This record gives sequence, structure tokens and C-alpha cells, in this order.
Amino acid sequence: METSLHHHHPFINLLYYGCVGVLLMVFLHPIFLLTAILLLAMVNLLHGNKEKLKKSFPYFIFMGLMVIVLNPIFVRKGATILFYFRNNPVTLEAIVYGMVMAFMLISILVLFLSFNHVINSRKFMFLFSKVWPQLALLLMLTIRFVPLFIRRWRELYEVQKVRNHSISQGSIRMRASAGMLYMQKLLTWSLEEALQSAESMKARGFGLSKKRTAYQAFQMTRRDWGMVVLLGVLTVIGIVGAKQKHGVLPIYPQLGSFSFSSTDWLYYGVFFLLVSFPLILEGGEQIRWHLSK
Amino acid sequence: MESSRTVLVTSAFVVLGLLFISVLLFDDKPYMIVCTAIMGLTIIPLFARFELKNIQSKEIVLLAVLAAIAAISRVPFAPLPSVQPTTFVIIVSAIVLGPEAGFIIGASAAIVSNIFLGQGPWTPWQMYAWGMSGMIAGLLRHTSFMKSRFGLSTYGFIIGFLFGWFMNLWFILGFLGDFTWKTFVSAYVASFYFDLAHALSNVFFLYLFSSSWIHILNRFKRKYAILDVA
Repeated sequence: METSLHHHHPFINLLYYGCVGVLLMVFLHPIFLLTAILLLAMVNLLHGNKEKLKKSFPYFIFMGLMVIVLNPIFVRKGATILFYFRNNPVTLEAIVYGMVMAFMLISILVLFLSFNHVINSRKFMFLFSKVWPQLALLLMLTIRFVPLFIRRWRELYEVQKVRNHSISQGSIRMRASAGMLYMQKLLTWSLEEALQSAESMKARGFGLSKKRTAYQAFQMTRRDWGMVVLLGVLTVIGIVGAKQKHGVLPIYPQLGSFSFSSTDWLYYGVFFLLVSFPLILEGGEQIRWHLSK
Repeated sequence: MESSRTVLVTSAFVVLGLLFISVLLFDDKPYMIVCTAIMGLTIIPLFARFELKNIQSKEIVLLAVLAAIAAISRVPFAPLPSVQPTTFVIIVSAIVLGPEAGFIIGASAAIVSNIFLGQGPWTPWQMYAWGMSGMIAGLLRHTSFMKSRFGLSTYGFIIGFLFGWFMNLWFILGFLGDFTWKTFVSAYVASFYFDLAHALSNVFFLYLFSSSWIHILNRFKRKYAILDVA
């Protein structure tokens, strides 16, 4: 489903993901990061990304658990020794640090889930072609070739299966060589065809006007620039606050208190506002819709 | 290719200088920042060079076909664990087309395959790792070592391990705390079998298929007068 965030300029989308990513890396506090995971999961649900979230969440949890388990095994810093594992001290601080890092990892992965939904290949190319047009053309062609080549691969597979050259039977060595022969056929087939099209494109004068345009034009409105300022200001406030150790759980050498001071609450508010930006946009749109009826 | 070599030497010195500066500036744990800075400093000039060059559309098409082949070759080999010919395709293309083409093919194969498999914090690391395996193969392509089938397979073996070791870094540096040499090594021992599988599959592909693929690519290069053909 397309949400309000989808309809904004790709630059706003990118800025949102960048800003949230930065703040997730500076506010190393379990409560901040847990809030972020919940909010970002809600953003994903709002996109209608429920299936993907459900499918990937176990993997995310697994990766997080790995960090939680590995960190105390590798790191011996910290004052509070809980027990000894193979004569190495396992400290409370290392476990908590592992937890914070696991929350950060999970929140970033959930953020990328939403990123992949909102920044589709069209928007990605639009953003990219602003900076590197030649590279953008290369990437655009490559992205288009992938489904085409997979279709051709299937075709080759079907034909060769009839001829009993299958990659689904035999030893690993035989299967791998059969697969490689398929790839080789795919290579010659595709190269021949692609280069012939390129030659004919050249003959028809492709690329003579140097300035290439995007398939879909996006225009920055005054409202968009306002959002750029808003996102920028929130992020800068957050970074400054985190640099002064607000909203950062003191872990090494000794675990500090989880409780928030009033300044911590302020930065929590800033963080909350930034992460829930898509939710606020959507909410605002809903309210306006209902008022207009 | 002389200019590429000077770029490489200069960036090596810049990286060395960066390491010293970082030791002086940060005392806590600069690894992640230093790593990102090094990758940025190496990747951006290479992309910029590609951007500034006057490249014909058929050359872009050739690079795109190879990058797409490299990217999708992860798909059909999915039933075979840890075996993927992406590295093979990148190395072979770099040998025929040179270091810059190798880098561009490797890096874009990483971006594009992740557009379909999902982007994540690992994308820039994969771009760097695959891009570099292509670039180094391209730089060494005129040596007698890389021209022999044995030498090429050895290169594939080494790259298989380096790739795995490099990809371990994003997880370790980013999400685990700092640690000692001994534990660092033990973390790498854990990934040994995955890296070995990658290395051996590289050897397998390079040993059996490199000559025919190089032959095919050379043929296309000559037929359509692409890249550095005199």
C-alpha cells in the first residue's frame, strides 16, 4: 500500500531514512532503540508490509541473539562479573552492551525493510542519476536485465531438461558444471543480443543530448523544503544531545541507571518525533481527509 | 593502465596516513569509522573516474550484461550451499576488460543483487569486496601468474578467503564490542568452512571454465571493438 511517505519527494524519503539511521547509531539506549523498533514496525505495517515483516522478523531476532551471545564471550570489559565461562569472566556490562547492539541491529534491519518498500527502483534511479548519471544508466540496465535473464535461464533450463542435461541430478561437481554451461549459453545469447541493440541505439543517435531525464519527474515543493529543515534540525539536536551523553546508557566500566533525567526525556521526545515522521504524515493526511468531507 | 596503478599507490598511502591519524585522534573504538572512511576513499575516486570517462553506450551495455549475469548467478546455484559463481564472473570479466571494468561490474552486481535480495548494512561492504576482487584481478591480468590456469585458480582461492574475512568485519566491527587479537582470530576460525567453500568453488569454476569464458568475452570485445581494443 502506498502511504503518505511514498508520495513525497524521493529526497525526503532518503533524508528520513538517513536521519533515522544516524540517530539509531548515536542513541545507544535500550529504551530508545526498543521504541524505534516498535515505531518502525508500525511504519512497516502501515505500508502493508506485514507479510515481509512476519517472514523476516525471526531472522532479525536470530541475528540479534547472536550479538547478545557473542559479545560477552569476546569482551571481558566491565566491573560486574556474573560467572566464569571457560575461565573467562562474563560481565553484566558486556551482556547489556550486546543487548543494546542487538536492538540497534534489529532496528536498522527493520528500517531497511521500510526503505526497500518506499524507495522503489524508479525513485532509486532518480536519486542516483542526480549524482552519477552514467552509473545510473548502467545500474538501470542491470536492474532491467535481471528479470529478463532469469526468464531466459528458465527457458534454457526447460529445453536442456528435455535433453537430459539437468542440474537437479548427479554429483555436486556434475551439477555445478552443468549449471556453468547454462550460464555460458546465457552469456553468449544475452551479450549478442544486447550489443546488437546497443549498436542500433547508437546508429539512431542515442546519447547525443547529454542531459538524460528520469522516467518520472519529481518536484520539490515549498512544503518539502520545510520538511528537509524539520528533519535536519531534529537530527542535529539529537546528535548534539547524544554527544553530551544524553540518551546514552552508560555501560563501561560500570553499568549506569536506566532511568531518564528530564533532559533525557526531551531528547527522547525529539527521537520519537523523528522516527514516527511517516506515522505523523499519514495521520495528518487522514485528519485532513476527514475534515474535508 | 598506468594511471590506475598510481591511483592505487596513492590511495594506499592515504589509507596508511588515515590509520595513523585515527590512532592519534580517537582512543575509544575507531574501527568502524576508519573502515568506512577507507572504503569511501577507495570507492568514490573509482566511481568518479567511470563517471568522467567518455563511455560509449555499447560499453555500458556490456558492463551491465556482465553485472547482471554476475548478480543472477547467485540464483540458480542456490540449491548448492555456499557455491555461487558471482566471484568467478567478476574475476573473468576483469581479466578480459581490465581493472576499472572489474571494479564497476563487481560493485554494481552487489547493488543490483541486493535490490532483489534486500538491501542492508552489508551492501557497501559487498560492493567493496566484489569490486576489489575484480579490480585486483584486472591489475594483475598481464602477469604470467594470472595467465596460467593454476595461478588464476590460486587467486580465486585467496580471494574466496579474503572476501569472507572482509565480510565478517561489518558484523564484528559494527555490532560487537572491541576485543583482543586472540578472540578476533577465534571469531574468524568460526567462519572457516564457509570461506573454504567459497574459495574451493572459485577454484572449481576458474579451473574448469575460465578459459572458455575468457575466450567468449575476448571474442565479443574484438567483434564489437569494445573498451581498450587498439
